[in-house]
Amino acid sequence: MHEPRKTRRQTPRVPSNFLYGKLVPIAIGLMAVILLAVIVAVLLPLFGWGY
Amino acid sequence: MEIITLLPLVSTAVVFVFAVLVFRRYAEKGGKHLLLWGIGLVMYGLGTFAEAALAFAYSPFILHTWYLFGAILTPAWLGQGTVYLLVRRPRVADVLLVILTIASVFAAIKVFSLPTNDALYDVTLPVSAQYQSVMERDSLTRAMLAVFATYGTITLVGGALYSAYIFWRKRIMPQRVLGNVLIAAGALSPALGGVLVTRGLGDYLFVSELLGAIIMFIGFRLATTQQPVEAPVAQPAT
Repeated sequence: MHEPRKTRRQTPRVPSNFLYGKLVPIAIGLMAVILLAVIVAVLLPLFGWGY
Repeated sequence: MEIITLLPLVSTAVVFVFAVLVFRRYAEKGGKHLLLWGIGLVMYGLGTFAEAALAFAYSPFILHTWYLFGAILTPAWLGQGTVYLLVRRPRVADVLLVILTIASVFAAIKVFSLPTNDALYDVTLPVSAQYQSVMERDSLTRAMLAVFATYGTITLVGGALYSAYIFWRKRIMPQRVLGNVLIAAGALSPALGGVLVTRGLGDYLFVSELLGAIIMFIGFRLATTQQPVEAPVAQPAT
């Protein structure tokens, strides 16, 4: 008698599409740039630059 | 009364509902990140509530409360939650929390000891447009603000972007990707508003806080929604 083979549960993969493939990385990259700009704007006055 | 002065009331309501949901999730599932996010959101709400109160009546205590929670502590405590979520070594997160707690107590003592020119305060104007002339901040206070804001923004926004990128690269959990992108965008909103305040553009702060609270709320709901999982295909017995 054979036992049923164990099924391995996998998290479903997202199918390829333009929105997911292109817009998400653009949004992440854009926000990373804004994050850097905010950090620079916050820290500059500490070093006597800015206002 | 201008409508802009009512925005902090709406922000307060949104943030406290958000905080209740986060605490409820913490009660159900545990996780220090949820506890710290909840604490950070309560601080967010205290800041926006102080803003709303300052549109009706002025007191140095409310002004100091607004500056402490609204400007200094909120991003750092929210970011500390993300540190607990992403840093695999719990000891590192614990040490950072101890440092943050000590620094927060010091900041509270420092902020509440700042002298104020009470006669200069005008309740018809937003607090963000006049606090610089009313509260006499020294260089240590400004440095504290910069350090807390930098730590909080990097950990909260950077952590959300990092999480979004990881899930996106693995091509799994699209709701969590979108949720983290929204959390990052929502956290950036008041951070940008805060930068504009330091450049003398205080009118945008209230809008940025409300937008930030709503967008982060939606992002959190998306990121924590149960993903639909396909039923595994049964393997035939051989």
